[in-house]
Amino acid sequence: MEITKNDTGVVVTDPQNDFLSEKGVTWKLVGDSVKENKTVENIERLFKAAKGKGIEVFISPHYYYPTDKGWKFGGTVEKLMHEIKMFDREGPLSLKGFEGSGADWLDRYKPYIEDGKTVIASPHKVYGPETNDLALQLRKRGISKVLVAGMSANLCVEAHVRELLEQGFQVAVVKDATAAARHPELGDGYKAALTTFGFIASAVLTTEEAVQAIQKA
Amino acid sequence: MTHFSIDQTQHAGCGAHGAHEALGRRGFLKAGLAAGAGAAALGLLGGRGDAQQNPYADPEKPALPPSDMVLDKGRAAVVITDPQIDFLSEKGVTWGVVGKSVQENNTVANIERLFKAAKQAGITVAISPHYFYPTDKGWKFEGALEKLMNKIDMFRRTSPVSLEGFENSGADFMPQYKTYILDGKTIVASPHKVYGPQANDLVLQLRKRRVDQVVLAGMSANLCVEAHLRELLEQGFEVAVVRDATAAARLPEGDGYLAALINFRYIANALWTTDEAVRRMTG
Repeated sequence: MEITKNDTGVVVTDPQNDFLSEKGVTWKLVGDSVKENKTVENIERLFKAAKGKGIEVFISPHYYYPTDKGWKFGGTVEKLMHEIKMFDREGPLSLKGFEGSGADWLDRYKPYIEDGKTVIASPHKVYGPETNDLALQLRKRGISKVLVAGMSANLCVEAHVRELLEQGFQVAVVKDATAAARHPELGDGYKAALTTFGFIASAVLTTEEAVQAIQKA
Repeated sequence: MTHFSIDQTQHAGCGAHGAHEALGRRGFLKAGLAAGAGAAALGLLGGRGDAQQNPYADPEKPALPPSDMVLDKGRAAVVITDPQIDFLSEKGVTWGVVGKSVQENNTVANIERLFKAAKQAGITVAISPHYFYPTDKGWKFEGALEKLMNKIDMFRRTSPVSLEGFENSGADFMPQYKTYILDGKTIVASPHKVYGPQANDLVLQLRKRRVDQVVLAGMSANLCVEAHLRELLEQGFEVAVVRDATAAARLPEGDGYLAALINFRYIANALWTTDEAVRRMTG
């Protein structure tokens, strides 16, 4: 997979406090994996490299609103996310309490995400981009190849990889710019994701490899 | 401020009145609205009648099978697309092209009657809004109406994570709807970005509540309403469209409302008036 400037985008899922900050509600589950992979720093390296080269950056965030509590069924982690109030916002048309909350971006990412150029898709609501405008935003810019990173590896990252593949995008995953939960009963999410990425992605790169490819684009 | 002019022509049945108008961020296309009494005022809307007098009248002898949709309140939702100032207010950027249709259909009041009836009956209500952000200016190709919406800054917001300047802007909800939409129960889906719900979470939100019947209304008939109808049908929902709780643009290129109405007759599970929808919801 060749990274070329005008038709490649960097897609980052959930670069938000609830996943990547020690204060986030999932830190106990994902913290070890985030630290081992240096996920926080590696995502920033991708932002910096992409911006430096003029490659478009897309964020697919994760938010929940009070009305989402009206859902009548959910899978295991969906239920968990609602219980721990992960990514909770006051409403789609309210930013009360948003700044610095678990749903907000990591502070260090704000200069990249809020530069007026980064495309912030509407939130995904389970794991994948089937319910937001990410694929449309990519296509409207003629982008057919994506580098995917972000949180968390076997949930939103994998769901994005799978749907983008099905939608006809060529997809590479940056394997150390992501991380996942390790759960005593549910298992090691990162390991599961890495296996799948190897099976289905066009390329599985390290951040170092991705940054070099971007710089050569 | 972007200006360009278009030739505004009245729809068939009201005679042709050509007029040139400037298109701008505000007050664009305020053309030809005073011409002629509306079909609604003539009491023709929605009924069977003389198609020569009322282009929207249903056929005297329909060839298609009648609707058999029975509303089941427990698994139904009222879905309203774009109940926003830029479509429904005299101050909105599209009033010049949609205003006449909105007035004839009594769309603004009819949408409110649907909200009221649904809330009274405890029926789920969902909004599928339309917003554009500065980054959407980076799109490399667009259809005609997409280009127009972009040019006139329709539904413009500062950013997905900013509400600066939002209140009472063209992108905001009509003030009289806020009591229904912002009651903490109404689902406000993320914005659709072209016309349909393929790019937002509306379908997921409905399914997560085990909703499979939709009473559909809003703006505008042949664009977002029809796009929502089509996608919801394909996704397996049973959909009734409320014919006078919507309206559309009339342009020299054609009457959007008439085009939509024809397609609604062909493809919807039911085509109700607001009266009928309210009766079914509250009865």
